[in-house]
Amino acid sequence: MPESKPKKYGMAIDVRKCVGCMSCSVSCKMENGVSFGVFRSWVNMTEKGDFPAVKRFYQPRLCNHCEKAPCVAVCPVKATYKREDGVVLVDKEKCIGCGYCVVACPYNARYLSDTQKVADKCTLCDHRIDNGGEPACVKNCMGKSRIFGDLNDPNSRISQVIAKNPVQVINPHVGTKPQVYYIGADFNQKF
Amino acid sequence: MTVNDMYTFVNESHWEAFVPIYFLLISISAGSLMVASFSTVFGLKQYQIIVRPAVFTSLVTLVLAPIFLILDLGQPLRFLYVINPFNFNVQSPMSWGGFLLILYGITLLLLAKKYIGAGSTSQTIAETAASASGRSKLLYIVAFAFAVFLSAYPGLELGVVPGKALWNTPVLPVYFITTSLLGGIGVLFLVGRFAAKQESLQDFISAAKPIAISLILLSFVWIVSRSMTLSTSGLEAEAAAQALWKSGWFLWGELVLGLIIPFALLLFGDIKKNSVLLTLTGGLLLIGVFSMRYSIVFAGLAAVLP
Amino acid sequence: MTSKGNSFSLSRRNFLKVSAAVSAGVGIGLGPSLLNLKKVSAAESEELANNLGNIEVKYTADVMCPSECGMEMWVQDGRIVKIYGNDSCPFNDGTCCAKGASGMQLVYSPERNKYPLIREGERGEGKFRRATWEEAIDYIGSKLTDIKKKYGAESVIMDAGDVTDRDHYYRVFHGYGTPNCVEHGSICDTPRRHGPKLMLGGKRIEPDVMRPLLVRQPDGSLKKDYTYYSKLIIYVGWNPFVATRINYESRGTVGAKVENGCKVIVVDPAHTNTASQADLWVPIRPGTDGDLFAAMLRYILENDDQYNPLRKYIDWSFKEFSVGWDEFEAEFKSWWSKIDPINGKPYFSLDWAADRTGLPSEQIQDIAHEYGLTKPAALVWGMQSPGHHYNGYPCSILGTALNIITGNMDVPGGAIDTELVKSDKGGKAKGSDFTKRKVKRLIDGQEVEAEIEYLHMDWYGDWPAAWDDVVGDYPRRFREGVNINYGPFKGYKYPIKGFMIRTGNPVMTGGNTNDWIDALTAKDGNGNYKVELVVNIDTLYLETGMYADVILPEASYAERMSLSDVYPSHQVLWMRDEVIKPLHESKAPTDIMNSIAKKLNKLGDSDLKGEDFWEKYKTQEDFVNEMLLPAPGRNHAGEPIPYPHLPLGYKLLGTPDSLEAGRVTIDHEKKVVQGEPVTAEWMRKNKGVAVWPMSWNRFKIFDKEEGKYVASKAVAKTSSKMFEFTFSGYNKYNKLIDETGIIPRGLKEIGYERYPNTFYWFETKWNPYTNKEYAKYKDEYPFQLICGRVHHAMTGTQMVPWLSETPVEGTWMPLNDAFKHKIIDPNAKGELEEVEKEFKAGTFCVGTIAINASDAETMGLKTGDLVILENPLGSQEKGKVFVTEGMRPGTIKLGFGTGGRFSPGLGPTSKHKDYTPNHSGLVDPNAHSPIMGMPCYADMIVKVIKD
Repeated sequence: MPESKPKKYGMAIDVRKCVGCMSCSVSCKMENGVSFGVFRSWVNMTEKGDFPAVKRFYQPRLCNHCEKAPCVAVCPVKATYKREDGVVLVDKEKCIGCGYCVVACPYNARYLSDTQKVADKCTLCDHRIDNGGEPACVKNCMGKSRIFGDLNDPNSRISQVIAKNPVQVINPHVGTKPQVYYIGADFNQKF
Repeated sequence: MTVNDMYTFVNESHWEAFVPIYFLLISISAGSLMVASFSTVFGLKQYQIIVRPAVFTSLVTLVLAPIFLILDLGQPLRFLYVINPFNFNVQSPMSWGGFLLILYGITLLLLAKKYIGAGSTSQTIAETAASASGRSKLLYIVAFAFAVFLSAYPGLELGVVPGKALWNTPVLPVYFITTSLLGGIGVLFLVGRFAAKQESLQDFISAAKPIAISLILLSFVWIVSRSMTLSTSGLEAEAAAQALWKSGWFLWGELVLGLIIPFALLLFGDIKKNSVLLTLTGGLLLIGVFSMRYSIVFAGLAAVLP
Repeated sequence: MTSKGNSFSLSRRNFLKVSAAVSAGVGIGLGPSLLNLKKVSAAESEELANNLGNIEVKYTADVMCPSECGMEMWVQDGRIVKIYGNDSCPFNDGTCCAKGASGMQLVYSPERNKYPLIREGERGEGKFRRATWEEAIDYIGSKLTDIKKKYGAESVIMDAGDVTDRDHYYRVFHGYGTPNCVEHGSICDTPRRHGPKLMLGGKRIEPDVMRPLLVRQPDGSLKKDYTYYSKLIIYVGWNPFVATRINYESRGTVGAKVENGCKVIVVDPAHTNTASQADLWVPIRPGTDGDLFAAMLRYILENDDQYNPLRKYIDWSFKEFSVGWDEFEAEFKSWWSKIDPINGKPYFSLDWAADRTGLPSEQIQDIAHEYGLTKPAALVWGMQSPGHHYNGYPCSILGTALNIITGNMDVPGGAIDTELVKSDKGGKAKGSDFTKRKVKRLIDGQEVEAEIEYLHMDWYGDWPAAWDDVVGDYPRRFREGVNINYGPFKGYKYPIKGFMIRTGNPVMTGGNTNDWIDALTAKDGNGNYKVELVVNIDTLYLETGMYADVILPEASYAERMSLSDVYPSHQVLWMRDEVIKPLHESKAPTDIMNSIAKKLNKLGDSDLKGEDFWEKYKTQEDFVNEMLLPAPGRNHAGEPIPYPHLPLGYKLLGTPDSLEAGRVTIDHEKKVVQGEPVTAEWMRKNKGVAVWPMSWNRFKIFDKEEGKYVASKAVAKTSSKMFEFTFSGYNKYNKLIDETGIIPRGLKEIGYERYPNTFYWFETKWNPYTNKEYAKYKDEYPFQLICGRVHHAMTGTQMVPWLSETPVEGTWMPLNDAFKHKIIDPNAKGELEEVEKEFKAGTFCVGTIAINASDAETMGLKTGDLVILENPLGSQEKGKVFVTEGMRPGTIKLGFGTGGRFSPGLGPTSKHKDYTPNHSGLVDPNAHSPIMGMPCYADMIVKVIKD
């Protein structure tokens, strides 16, 4: 039997199924105790076109758990690290709160926790996924638009969905190799 | 087609003015030492006179600098984590910066030792510098090298950040070196006259004037080339250029007060004789150096990818 | 491409953003996202909780909104620490919306009613003193006793607000002797339910998109089925993605779209969240949805060709299952030759509809054609229209007719009347039997004895056809009293002396705010309040509470037991469980019921007996067990046959497993299959949820002898048990009119003498484009005012900070001024804690005014500008505009209950009352839709004055 690859966690968001309900934003706050004013998970909204040919687009956002994560690269004390399974985390005991990773993240996914005074961000709900669950934003997603799983397992739902659909990542030109894939979105890439 | 960003959320950075102040202090430290190195390393006699004030200025600003860095940390008590070798992150400019600050500080202390309590005239001090050789010369060279890296360090720190067009450019470190030198000259214009004999100081001013003019011109080149490059590199870069030009710190602080007016004063004012003008020029140069750091940091943070 | 300066972000600095971050989601070449691969069970969730420490997993039903989804709450050391959707509940299939997930901030809100309060100042001043329960119940008990003696028990209204957990309160007040026990239905959307109720005996027609469904397989097993069949869904004035009353329409609509290529059309003057995922947004003029339906029906009738596959719109087999079509059709067609007085065009023609709806006639034709041809399809209309319009009745009647004649009722992927197929519950718990008690009243010197129910203020008073009572017309009755026009007590008059209001907030939602305030503070000649007793029972301190004499703190939804009241596609029921013990001094409804009953009994009222109350329902669970007795209570019908081993057409009672295993007794005479009764205990053992099998085509049954489908007569609740195009539902009201000659006020208003026998049509109010009476206002008041639910910010949840951080459409946006307030926010350990926070401008969502971009440009308005809206009645509301391309020009939309909130119990939200608009402030206090008395929330016009 061939040796199975190590896990590589990622997320696919089928924006055709996003209903703009903001459950991910609030479920994340509920799950992880995120303070007012900052978000680990949120949804941007853009309206395009002129009446009546107008469309509203949602862009659910979270840490992209980039393969080449700038936050990991710039951390002066190795408090931010990437786990073998791809999850980018902050060691809160080690972080000095310099904020370098916050400015280095091209996705504005990080902030300095105003209660803990260290860098904070989406953990993909590591406490849940390490115990066999899925992130809270995925669990509660009203449109079932979010799919979480192992990108290295060709039989996982996320791998199958990505194989069957064209996917995009946000701002690929930044070169960080995001691991959050969007289906049915067409982000403008010409900046 | 109308595009209406109904709602765009951005987690914002908590960086405050302490960051550019920190950058200013290390730039002055490195800048004044680099200016002093014209004498100590390159043997230019006109600069002998400012070596002692330069070393002390460098030391004082270097001691002050980390205070502002620490004040800006979420966990100030963990400051020393940066210089724990086990935490060293080879990819992080800030990791390098921490060690650089320490090594540079040690070098400066060793240098300063030479000038402390020497008790002698400025002449002998100048000679101390001029006649430096062997181990002593090596120390000057090492200090100079550290100073160059230190002056480039803020540029590196910001320059490696992807997705922020105003920062993410190879010219940024050189731009920081340029302005650090300007800062060095500026601060020495201010402190030089307290420490040196008038005639020697005039020699220094004469020598520094064309350098300062060249550095200002070089700054203009950086500004123009960067603005032009940004405005032709797509929406994101365009937004960065806009953010910069909309920043009062850049427009008034750096460009007008920090570059154009000193440029005119250097060209047309008699700063050698007129000590008020000299002070003004030195002060404006420092305002320019700070404004440049302030506008780069915050215009860079303002121009974010959504 | 131009970028409008409307962008803002939740930030201190002005970010310069690159516009156009998100653009068109082109569906081309995209495949399904394999919804059915995902199978997470509640068991896995429990395992996860166990691994994470000392966590107890509890299953319950939400009440953050009336969707009441099945929830999974994690409790640690007696505190709720996590909230998710319950994976065992197919209604929400494990999902949980923002509001549901934010529940902890309500349960642990510092703004809650913590202990009983007794008023000290004048009503409305908000001055109360803390009281003990004993004091408060004493106060209420003696007042009630006094009122009953002086005026009769019917002078007290028990308004239970929410449908949720109302039965306890109904029971005690039915027992006390008043028939006037109501909930909020009549200020919700009654005209919208009217058509289904008349024609099917139901209420809510929803698309068949609830997945998974538990379906009997050909091999006899029961399986969760995730397949979507829908091909076309038309949502008219219905915004399920925001008004998530029907949770499954969020995932189901996009699921059907992505997995089955279903086309979604949204007809709404506002570009709602639902419209954002629709294939087509049809920005219709407010109040003209019925016009669209009428034109669709006329087009279908005129162009149907059974021999042309491209024109075969009607499935004529519907006549097998219905009565009265010919009369309906004849009456409908009789209008075709009449000429509309405003536009001069024949009624229901495409041109007529185009003129009135403001839509191109080709578009109306396309929609009619597509709807006629595409099968299965569902035509679904919502509360925002016809629910909010004076003439919503013809609209919901036409919509129901369209679903029936196109053959879409109850077919897989079609339209389901969820009221008819959801599980029964409640039974005798609410004590309706008490209203059969006889009482004596003196009428013109004559003593009359009859049942209490004949004293009902609406059904035998001004609103005989108001199945859901008429809360919107209460203020008038508070001031003027009740006249009984019909029945044995005809001619009897009584005042309203007591108003028990529980959880509802009619001051903000029951019609015009000032009208309610006026009625609650009206005094008689002696300077006493006309309504002598106002009691507010609520978890939260809302505006109506400010006008109460006594406030009783009700346990929050996480601290009490009851059953969900929901609209799934088949019989599914789940239990609200006591997740944590009641906080502060709050009490669960069962305890409040018992303590009021006991007190009244103690004060000598022998109508309230221990055997009916405190001895019968010693615990909450006893009460819930009573409520569970009638479940599922529906007749065995449809395909695939739910229980092949049980007889069709029989009423099923009992747990799913007992029915499945055949542990039943069958009463062939009464046609009842009785399994083991569902109990709270059974529910807890089954993750809180009971699911009986789904079936379709429940209205019909295949008759082998005749070789065709005939009416099953098992589901429809009309008198014929079939679809009715002639309205026998009105017969009993017409009988009342015949007996007395008294025409109800609503009918009189529209010039009717009787309730119509079949199709009818009349115009709405305050619409200058369809009603000639109002045409004169067109120029001075150029905007039609509509409102819509902001799911985040219904009246009772605005103290929840998380919901003020997330925007909705254009009516709940971060346009606040800077302010400071104490909120509960996570501390360093992630636990919720009270902290004083400073909120910068632009960081906190408040009620806003959505306005079309061209309209705004004409007036020189940009997002954030303050304006005043003024209606022809002189009422004004102030608010900030949100400029959008997603509004029909000439239309303004406000959130319902979002603005002008003045109760301090709303926490941070009350800080914005001066620059947020209260929609109810602009509602015509005298406009009540003529048959069921619903306030006409969306029939209003305004002008915009720059502040």
